[in-house]
Amino acid sequence: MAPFIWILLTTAFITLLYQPVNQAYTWLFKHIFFPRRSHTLSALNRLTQELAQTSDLTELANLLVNTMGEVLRLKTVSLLVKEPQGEGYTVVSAWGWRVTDYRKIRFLPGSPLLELVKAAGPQILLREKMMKSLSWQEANQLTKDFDELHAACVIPLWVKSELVGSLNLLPLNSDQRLSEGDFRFFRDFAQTISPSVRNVFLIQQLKLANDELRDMQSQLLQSAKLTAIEQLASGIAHEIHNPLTIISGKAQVLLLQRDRKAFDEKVEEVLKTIVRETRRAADITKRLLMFSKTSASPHEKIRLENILEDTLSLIAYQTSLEGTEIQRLVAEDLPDFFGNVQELREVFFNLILNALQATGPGGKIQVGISFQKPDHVFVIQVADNGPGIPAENLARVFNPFFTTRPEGIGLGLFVIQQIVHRYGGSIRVESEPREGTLFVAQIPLAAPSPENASGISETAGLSEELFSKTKEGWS
Amino acid sequence: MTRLLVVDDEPEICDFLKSFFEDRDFDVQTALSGERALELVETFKPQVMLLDIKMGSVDGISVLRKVKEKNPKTKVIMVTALETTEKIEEAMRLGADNYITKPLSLEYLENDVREKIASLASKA
Repeated sequence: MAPFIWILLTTAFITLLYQPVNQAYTWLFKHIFFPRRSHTLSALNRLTQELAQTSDLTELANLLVNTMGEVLRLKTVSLLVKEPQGEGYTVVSAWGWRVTDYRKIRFLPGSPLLELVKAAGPQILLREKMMKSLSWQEANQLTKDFDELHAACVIPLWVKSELVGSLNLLPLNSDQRLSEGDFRFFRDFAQTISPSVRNVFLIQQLKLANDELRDMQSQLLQSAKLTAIEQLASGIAHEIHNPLTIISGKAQVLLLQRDRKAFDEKVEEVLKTIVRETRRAADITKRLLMFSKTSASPHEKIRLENILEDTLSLIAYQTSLEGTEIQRLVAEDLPDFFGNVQELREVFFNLILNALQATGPGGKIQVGISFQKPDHVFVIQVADNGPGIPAENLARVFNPFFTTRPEGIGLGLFVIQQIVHRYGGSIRVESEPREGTLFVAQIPLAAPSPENASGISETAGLSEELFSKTKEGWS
Repeated sequence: MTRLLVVDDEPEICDFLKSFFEDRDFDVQTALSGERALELVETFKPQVMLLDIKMGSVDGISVLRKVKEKNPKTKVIMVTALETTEKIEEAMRLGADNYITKPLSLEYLENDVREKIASLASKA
């Protein structure tokens, strides 16, 4: 009986005490015998949980390298991640080396380290080990890659068959060897965090695609807006043109009547005014249409300096009124330009008008035309000494409908840019507050295309006549 | 008297062109549509035609094509408002003798018409 009771009591005693003793033992093990290891494990455990909840790549990378660096007491750690566009890999964040350095570190397909990592699969690459198996040249190249990463050990991050990146580290003591247990640990760790890195990479890719789509959408919206304006302009121009033709025609019928005794001088003057003013209105509708016109027009041989002179005489009245000083800097040996007269007039006219509006009364404007022989490029420059364009507006001056003038429609510079692009050229703006603004258009000298070379020029009819009439009237 | 046919879908334009040229002793007929214009080409046999490019059902270009097919001697001056240069080029390729843009300069138009008549007379 007695032994049975003893056994029973002992069993009860053990059963009762097992849990607390076990806990105490675990506590002792954790905090006294292996304090670091336990701390490390729980910290990394927390880290993996936090990583899974992060959607920002930089945030994830910082969290990862900082925690690893601190917890595992490493000399350096960095995270290399696949770029959302293209095939390269970039260091997103690093611990233990200077922040400014890592942003530039990129590995493109074909770089020795990247190829080795890809070939090695989930295996961890050790700098020392790799070197032994390579030729002197290969080792040399690889050393450079490892040096760039400040690393002696590269842990690849794979998700299925996709290499999403790598963790690159250097232990605190360079002679510190990694044990088999360490390898196992890092492989497991890599497996745990790889999906988080890949998720963030995918999110980044989606963000970029989304941005691209948004850009495209706004471009489409703008072009739709422009198409609407074009249709409106063309509609208005056509609708107004016919009544103008009728008014002007009827007035001319009276004015040119063979029996002129019918009316006196005053009536004649009124009729002449009607004819003149209807022509002016028609000219405005034509200009409106020109702004909206995007179809290709005939190209012909033109002299840019003549176009400049035409333009200057067109605005001569305004410049004389405002006392604007206009300086021409035209190179002497300019070749012929092959293009559309109207379009080139538009370029000069808008650039100069823009400068005129910027300077206001008493301003100074310089207009230059030169030719760069080696590149076969015409350079048109218009500079003014106006107040300059604020930096925040500089990027938007070529946007359609961007204007700072209440009466402006914001199409002038946009139209110029469209025209210059159509000739395969480029246009840029430089501006200093209170110093002035400089527009530089570069247009390549294009060879005449055969279908355009035979284009008829608009010399008959009224359009040319109108242009010269306006010229006479204003100069 | 020179027979002149004015084709425009805007009655007021036909109207002032008619009175202007009648004042200068032309025999003028007007047509408000391409269909009517083709009828008049048959019956009235104009020597010179002022033809608006843009009209409703049958536009100036197709009228021009038919006129030049049937009676290539008829001088045709295209009247354009704001048509693209491609349209004008097409008309010139199809045999139009000139084009003039709206709003019309009647003095210029008269000179041009007289020039065409002179060229007809010299050929005859």
